Amino acid sequence: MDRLALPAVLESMGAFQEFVTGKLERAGAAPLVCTRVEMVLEELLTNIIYYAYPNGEGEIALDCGVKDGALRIRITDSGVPFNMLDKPDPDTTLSVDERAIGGLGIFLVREVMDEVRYERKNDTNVLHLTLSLQ
Amino acid sequence: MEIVSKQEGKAQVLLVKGRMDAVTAPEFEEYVNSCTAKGATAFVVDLGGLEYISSAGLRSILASAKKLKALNGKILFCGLQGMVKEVFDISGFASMFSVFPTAQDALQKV
Repeated sequence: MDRLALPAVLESMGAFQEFVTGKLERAGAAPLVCTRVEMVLEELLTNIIYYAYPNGEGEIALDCGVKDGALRIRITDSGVPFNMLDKPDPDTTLSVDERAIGGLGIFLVREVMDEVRYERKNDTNVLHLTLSLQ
Repeated sequence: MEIVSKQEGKAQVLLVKGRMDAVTAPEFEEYVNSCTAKGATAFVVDLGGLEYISSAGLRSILASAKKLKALNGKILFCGLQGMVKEVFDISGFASMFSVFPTAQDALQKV
């Protein structure tokens, strides 16, 4: 896996997305798959950018590789302990009036990726993602 | 993201192009707000040129729809394709909103 580490700010988003989609393209993934994964990265990284470092600046490290027909991503931050996956899925059958604004990002991530797992390890938050490309 | 607007009868047709992401999504809500401030309440949103949407885009669309509902307005969608269609399907937005293949189809239901 190769690593890209950048400041936890929205301006880093494009570079993280290109880092991963570059690997996907070289592995022959379809443009639609690349766009889905871009969205997944936006959902997870914005959560880290907004919530991981309430008292100042920090960094996000993204490790990524394609092996045995699967995309593997690991996202690490050293911010406050925070499992963003730990919330209930939204009810997607409600009407415009009933639906709360927000809460869809993590749901989209779970629907697109094959595996999404959180781990608190050595004072870091780690997200493990897997997507089969076959 | 780029938004091009044109009046079709009593409806405002918004052609949305490019990417609706965490940075650009609030522009959609602001655009709809600026139209309603001038009296528009019926919208057909053509997403045929939209290549990318995230939950930030869905949030902006839902916030606009809630405001329009309070004004007894309407917002219809058309032209969904690719990952934008997928995200509408997964999130339930495709069934929550009225979605049509083309702007012409949508305009008949305004």
